Amino acid sequence: MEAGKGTEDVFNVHGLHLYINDRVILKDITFKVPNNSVFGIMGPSGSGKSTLLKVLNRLIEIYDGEIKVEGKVLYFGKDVFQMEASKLRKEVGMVFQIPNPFHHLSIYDNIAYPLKSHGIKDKREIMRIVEESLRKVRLWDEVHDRLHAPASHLSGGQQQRLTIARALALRPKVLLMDEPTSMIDVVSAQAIEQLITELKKEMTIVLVSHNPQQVKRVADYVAFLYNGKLVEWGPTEEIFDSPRNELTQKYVVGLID
Amino acid sequence: MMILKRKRERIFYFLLIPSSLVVLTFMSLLSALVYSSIPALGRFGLSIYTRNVWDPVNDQYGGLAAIYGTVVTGVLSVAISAPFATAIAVFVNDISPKKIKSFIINLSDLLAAFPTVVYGFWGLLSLGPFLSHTLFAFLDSLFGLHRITNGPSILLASIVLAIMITPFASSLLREVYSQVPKSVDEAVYSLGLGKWELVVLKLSYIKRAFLGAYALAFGRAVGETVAVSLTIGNILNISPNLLDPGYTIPSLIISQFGTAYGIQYNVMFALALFLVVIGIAFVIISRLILRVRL
Ligand SMILES: Nc1ncnc2c1ncn2[C@@H]1O[C@H](COP(=O)(O)OP(=O)(O)O)[C@@H](O)[C@H]1O
Ligand SMILES: [Mg+2]
Repeated sequence: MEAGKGTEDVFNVHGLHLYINDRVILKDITFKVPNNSVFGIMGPSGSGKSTLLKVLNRLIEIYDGEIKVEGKVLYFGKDVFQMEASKLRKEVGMVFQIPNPFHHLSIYDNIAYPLKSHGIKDKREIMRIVEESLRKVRLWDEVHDRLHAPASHLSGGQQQRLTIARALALRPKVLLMDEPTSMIDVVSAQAIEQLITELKKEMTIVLVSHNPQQVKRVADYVAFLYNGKLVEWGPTEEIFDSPRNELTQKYVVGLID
Repeated sequence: MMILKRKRERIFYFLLIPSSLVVLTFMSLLSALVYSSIPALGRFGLSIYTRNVWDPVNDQYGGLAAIYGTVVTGVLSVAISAPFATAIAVFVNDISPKKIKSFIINLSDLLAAFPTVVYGFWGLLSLGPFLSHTLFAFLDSLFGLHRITNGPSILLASIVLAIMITPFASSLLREVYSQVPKSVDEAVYSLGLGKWELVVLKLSYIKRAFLGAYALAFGRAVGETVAVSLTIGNILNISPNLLDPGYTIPSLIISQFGTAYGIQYNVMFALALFLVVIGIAFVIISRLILRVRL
């Protein structure tokens, strides 16, 4: 199960327990996310996938519930809870299940606003990054002539690609994706899957998916979460072809969920 | 068409009565206003609204000064109140600890329920003299706005109005602000942005509802009577000097009604009609703004 060299791991999670309002949500989770890989997380709904993802960028802290964490979560060897949250989150981008562009802002401002807030002031530089990011997610051709239209005018799939572009514009080292294709049209979903495999050259992707087949298609490693526990994790072929755990066996053939 | 078959459900027919009373009240108020305004409008025409004269001896009336005072106090009070109401809405939703939040909300709701005469007295007896020695004296020394009263003025009335409408406006804003979906927070924080950006984006997200809330608050401000008549000085005056006393339509009506007779009555009805039209216009505008999806 040893994957990658210690410090090269993007995330190194060891013995993680997470409690929300004193209720245990994640139990004794241990895994490593190697650099420049696609790391899939699958499991039935309610198993804690989103919660686990939000621990990695500490987004878990923005909700009302009281959080208690045990165990360690290292990002390139550093304890995420000792880092400045905003710095961590700038490097570890996130895409959500329901596309959440800033609906009232223009397509352009959705990408430009965070850039400006992070100190990039030069207009041409911003425009360059906006175009580059929109091209990466293959949205440029569809929107280049209406960059100043509100994001709410886009279709769901386009909105999702916009949120990916928005995250990519900050040049993250990691992209966390929480079921990014479950709420959008098939064509956009395929485009995003395609994009994931391309992005892996420049960054690491942690992909939560409701769909084991999707994980099988795009992930290099996969973790199976059940009831807040990490049942097993490893290279994708191993988990799908020769799972050690009975639960995993059942899940990958579709007998659970 | 609603068909009420079962016997005991006939009782629902009685529910029509209160509802139709709403319609009836509206119709009868409006028609009384229009009916009583007609003699004045017939005699003076629109000059009731465009002249500044109040001369019972020669029976000459025009309420321009009151209209001026109404609009100026309405606009000023909203302008003064808006930053405060916004700040309160932001503070209780996104900044303050939970305990302080409910304390402020309860207190603010309590303030909204205070009788307006209390605000009026307080404005006249405490706030007015205080401001007269401080803020107003300062404005005087800065811009040479001289004072002829110990407080009562267009500015004092506007400030008292602002204080009165702030709890109301902030509760409206609080509500819309709190309805901004959590997904905006998620987007903001996941991009490494902070509370500043969160507040800026949420405020821009609700800016339409914000305008709607303020249209309602403005309607409330221009209709306020007692508190204004106690603090505005009650002089028919169209002065750009905000420290001068003035009048608003409601304060003019309340202070003149006791002694009015003949056509003067009708003029006041005509002015009240004007106020109602402004009020209805603002309710419609705010509804339209609020209805447009964000
Ligand atoms: N903020 C929260 N407060 C309380 N319970 C939560 C919160 N977030 C998630 N949970 C609980 O944690 C469990 C896992 O949820 P989640 O991570 O969303 O699962 P998944 O993404 O796999 O569907 C669920 O039982 C859910 O009710
Ligand atoms: Mg989820």
